[in-house]
Amino acid sequence: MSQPWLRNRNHLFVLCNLRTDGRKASEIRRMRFQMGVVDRVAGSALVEMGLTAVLATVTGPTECIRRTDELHDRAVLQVHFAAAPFCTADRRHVPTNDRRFLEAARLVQRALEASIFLHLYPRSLIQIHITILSEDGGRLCAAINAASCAVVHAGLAVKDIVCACAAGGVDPVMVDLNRREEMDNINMACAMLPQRGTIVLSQCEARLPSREALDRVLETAMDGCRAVFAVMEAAIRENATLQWSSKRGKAIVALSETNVV
Amino acid sequence: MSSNLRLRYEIDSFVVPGDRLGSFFKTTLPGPGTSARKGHLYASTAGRLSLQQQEQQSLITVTPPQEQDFASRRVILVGQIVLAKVDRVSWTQAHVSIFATETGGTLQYPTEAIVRREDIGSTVPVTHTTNTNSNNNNNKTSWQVIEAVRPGDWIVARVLSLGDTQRYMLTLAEPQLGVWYALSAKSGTVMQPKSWNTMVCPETGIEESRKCAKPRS
Repeated sequence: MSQPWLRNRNHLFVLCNLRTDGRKASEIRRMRFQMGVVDRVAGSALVEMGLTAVLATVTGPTECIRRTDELHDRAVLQVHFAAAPFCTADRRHVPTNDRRFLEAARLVQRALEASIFLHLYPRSLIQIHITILSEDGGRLCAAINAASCAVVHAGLAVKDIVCACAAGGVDPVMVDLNRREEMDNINMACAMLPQRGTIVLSQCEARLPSREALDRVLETAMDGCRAVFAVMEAAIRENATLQWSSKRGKAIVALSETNVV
Repeated sequence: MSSNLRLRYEIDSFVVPGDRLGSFFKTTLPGPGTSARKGHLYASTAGRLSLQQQEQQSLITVTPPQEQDFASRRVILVGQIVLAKVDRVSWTQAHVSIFATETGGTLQYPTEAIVRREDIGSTVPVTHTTNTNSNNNNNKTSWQVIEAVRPGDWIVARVLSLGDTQRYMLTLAEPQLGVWYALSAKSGTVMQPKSWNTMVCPETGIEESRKCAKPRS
């Protein structure tokens, strides 16, 4: 191993073929879902994948802010992506119209548009606000997971729960990369409708060495999505049960589980 | 009917979106909260699975928890009856905020609408009016807006059109539409409708002019 930080501390991990945080290549990080964390909106969800924490809120369906934006036969889905200044180790204020955030917002929008039955809400506006609270790799995937949970919590009709996970690295192909691993390896984010098996998003910014590498990375990412789905589905089911049984209404559910692919 | 109904989840169990509920036939149809694809029923919201019996068919529905009614019902459609509160009144129109629709329940956020003076109806007694949209009323037989509705009243109206970029357009020109709840100007108590054009305060006996909605029997 040529990286000095590996040589110092993690030789045991290297010997056991584990990653720097002690995970196996096929293991996703600990996930935690909380739904109903924000009061006045239609739906909200706080998703933690390892140390990455993302909050998503869904407002709508409401009247479009500008009537000229509305579509006569379906809803307009707007996604706003923002990061809190304390999300990384050094506190930094990031403007809202940062280009990376605009791109991320557009990707989340397209992933969710593939799932929400927009034609049921004509001439309406559905707004999703995503805030990164803590960043440790996989923020696009955590954002999609949070938005998906919030959309289900809001009661919008969806085809399936959108799940997202990232995969990367050439040999071995790792799933759910943290920040350190993202910097060193190729990283492909993938979102799918797990029960239908359809991919709604796949994004990769690096060059893959071969066609087979693409297949492997995509396949690993899809396995990661299915593992995420297992946790997300249990959280949604528990939240629905709690909401029905609680008298006051919105219940907050925290579910933490570790999942192995 | 229950013999050919085979659901993969029990009735009253909780399902999540994407769960395949079973197949649907001519007699069991997808209802609110479900979607159909290639002959199979899938849940589209998280909630409780239930079966609604209608005359010849049964509907499979997934009901979300109570305080979130079906989001699709929150859309305002033309021709719907809505419940609105009067915000302000001018010579030509009344500005109202729509709070609820008949089929959908309460909206999450109230939306603006107007009722034009011509759409309030005619002051000729209701039994003589046959055409509610007639434009051949001269000024004498159409309501003055301030005598028909007042700020703070709750009205039942029908959506005429989606209107322009800022507001819907409503009409009150039917017997069952009009002011439904109003407080007396002097005493502040809830007034009772006395006739199609008058409301009376039960405490003071003072009558005020309103275009009253016909009470539902």
